[in-house]
Amino acid sequence: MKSYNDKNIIAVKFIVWLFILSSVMLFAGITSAYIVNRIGLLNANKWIYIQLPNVFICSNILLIISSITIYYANYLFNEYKYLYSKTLLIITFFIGIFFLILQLNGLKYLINNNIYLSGNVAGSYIYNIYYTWSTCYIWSFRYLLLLFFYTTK
Amino acid sequence: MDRQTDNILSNNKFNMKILKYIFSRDHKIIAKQFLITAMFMGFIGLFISVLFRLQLAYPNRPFYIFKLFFNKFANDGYLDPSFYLSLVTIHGTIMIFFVLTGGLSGTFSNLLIPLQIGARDMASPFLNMLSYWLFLLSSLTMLYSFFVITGPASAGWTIYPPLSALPKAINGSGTGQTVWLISMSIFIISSLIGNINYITTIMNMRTQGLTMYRLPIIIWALLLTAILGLLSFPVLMAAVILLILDRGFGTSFYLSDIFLAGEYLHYDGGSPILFQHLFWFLGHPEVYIVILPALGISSEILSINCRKPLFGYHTMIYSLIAIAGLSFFVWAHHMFISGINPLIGSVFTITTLIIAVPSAIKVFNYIATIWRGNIKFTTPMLFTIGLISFFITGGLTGIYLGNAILDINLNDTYFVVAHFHIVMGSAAIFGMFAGIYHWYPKLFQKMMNEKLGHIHFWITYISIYLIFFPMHFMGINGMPRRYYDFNAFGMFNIFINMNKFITIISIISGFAQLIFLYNFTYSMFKGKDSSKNPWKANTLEWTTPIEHIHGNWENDLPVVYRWPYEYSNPKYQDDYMPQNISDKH
Ligand code: HEM
Ligand SMILES: [Cu+2]
Repeated sequence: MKSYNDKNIIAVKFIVWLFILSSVMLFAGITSAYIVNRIGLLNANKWIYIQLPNVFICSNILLIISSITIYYANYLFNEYKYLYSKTLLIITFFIGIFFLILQLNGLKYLINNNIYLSGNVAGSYIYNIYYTWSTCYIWSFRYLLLLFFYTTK
Repeated sequence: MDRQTDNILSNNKFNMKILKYIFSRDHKIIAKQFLITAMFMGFIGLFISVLFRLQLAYPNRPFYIFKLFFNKFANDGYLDPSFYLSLVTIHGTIMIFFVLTGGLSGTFSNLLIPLQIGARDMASPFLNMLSYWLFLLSSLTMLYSFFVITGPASAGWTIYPPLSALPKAINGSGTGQTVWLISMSIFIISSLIGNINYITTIMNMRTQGLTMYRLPIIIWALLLTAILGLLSFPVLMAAVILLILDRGFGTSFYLSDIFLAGEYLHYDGGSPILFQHLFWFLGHPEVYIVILPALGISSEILSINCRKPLFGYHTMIYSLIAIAGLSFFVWAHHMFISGINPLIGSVFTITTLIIAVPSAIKVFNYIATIWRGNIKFTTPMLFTIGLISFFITGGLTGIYLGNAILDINLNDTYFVVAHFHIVMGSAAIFGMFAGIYHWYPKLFQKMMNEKLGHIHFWITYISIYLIFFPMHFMGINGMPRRYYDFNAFGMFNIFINMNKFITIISIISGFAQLIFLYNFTYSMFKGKDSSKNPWKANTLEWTTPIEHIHGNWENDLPVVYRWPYEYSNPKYQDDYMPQNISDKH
């Protein structure tokens, strides 16, 4: 029989999953807007193809790698291997910095090619993803600092 | 201790008590906060509707009351046409979001979930408190729009672009619309936080023996409501984000090829239809977010007041699940005339007609529950019967509207106004009234006055049919909704007197709500004391002490042995058998 407090701890984890689910729906909303809008404009021959620079692919790969490193940092932390955990956290941190540099490069590319938020909708969607990314980015830094704080304690 | 310090101390205690009340994390107090905020908003929404009904009935007559309340929008007592649109918009927004979403699910989820599943509080009392405060903040923000110089938003509760996307389009498109969007963003966050908490609590905090198939139907309904909100409100948020970018940052998500006052605007490539898709992807589930808690409430009250087990408990759950699931696949029935592909129109006609099936199953189950029951005509029971009546009448017109061919003619007429005011407005409000009358003893330890309750019911019930039934015929005759002055069109002259009649009845029914308000506040202080289980019900909330305590149960949490609808079983001595009493003794 689970105690009342155990139940509560499980519940708090559940809350996090539901938060993730609702953010997935937020992105799903924007993505489906993109798809519908694109189909409409393609039919009207108004869609502008934007060749995304390769830096965005690189930064995507970094994003995935950093998820893996932070996941293991958390895993090792729970196994009480604080030193390994901290090393992975530092690696994640530098990946994060590198990611930022690549993203800013991507932004520079967009601006150099006259793609602005308020231009053709095709460009607006890129910026849209760009901004939402940045917000998540800032949030995840907070998480990173928190973990770092716990490993050093 | 001398007297003075004693006084100060007790004074302090009093202050502490007030503070505790305001910043409470106790779910029972948060439920009261939701209820009272929603009632406040509800009365404002009701008052607004009486005002624009006056305009509809007597379009060319000045009214002092317009001048009194909205001086700058009512020159010499003549209502400003653009302000009429603002009134309609804010009325719809308040009623749908603040009363029937925040108020209905907010109040009863908070009150009933922990009490009926045997938990000491919500999974996260802090998030729960946050959810209420954001709700209050967004309510106040919405009301603030009346103090904006150009007036509140006026693109309707559905805020279709381009009216909502071009700040210079009409008066209400300016600051008023911005305030609306800010308020709605806060509201969305509040409701997401709340919903996450409700789902988590139901899934994880049930007491021993309380399996999913022993839950009261209302808990199932509140669970599905929360899931619907969790999945659909973020999509509205996405729509709102894109709208904000269009308004302030020059993007063209929803705009294309537009002239404003003869001037060509630079917007290119977007589509207002895109907004409609995003909006109704929330909007249709939203109407079920509104009605499901009401249906849940009525299931409880029916069974208790018929002293009979709820008919078809399992089918009831499955149809709730079916309604919730299907509600994500019918949204385009609001868009039949938007120029969508007719093939898509047919697909959505079919899904729309399918969703009527589980709705009908619920109604049949209700009627079968009443059938040969030992009916107690208490006030909550009357309101529940009213709800079923409205759900049938309004649901039937939904099937008319779901047919694309018919809807092309009926869309944007008073027929739609009649449909949704009966099926959503009235049915859900009746669910809320029923819930308030029924759980008032749990909320305030007192009973509400039955006689006043009956008067309140009969006036309101009859008025609603008198007000909304004629609107079907107006709609079939082509009368469009959201118009300021029908006397400008000769063809609607036949309805001049009908419009006056509707307005007079709506004023009467508006005053009838004061009876409720009086009963509500009076009973809080002078009402008859409630016993521990005044309705002789089976569910766990009636096993807690009458006086509220933090943590709900004094000692151990109750253990559950059976489903909640064990009424009039000859096996037992009483005609009811609470869930927490074991067969063994
Ligand atoms: C039997 C099931 C139902 C069917 C088939 C149905 C069908 C429809 C259709 C086709 C429309 C669009 C009419 C138009 O704009 O031309 C509509 C409008 C509406 N329905 Fe229903 N409906 C049903 C039940 C409900 C329920 C249960 C609610 C709420 C509790 C509801 C609330 C609304 C609202 C609010 C609108 C108007 C939205 C607006 O344009 O402002 N309906 N319904
Ligand atoms: Cu709908």
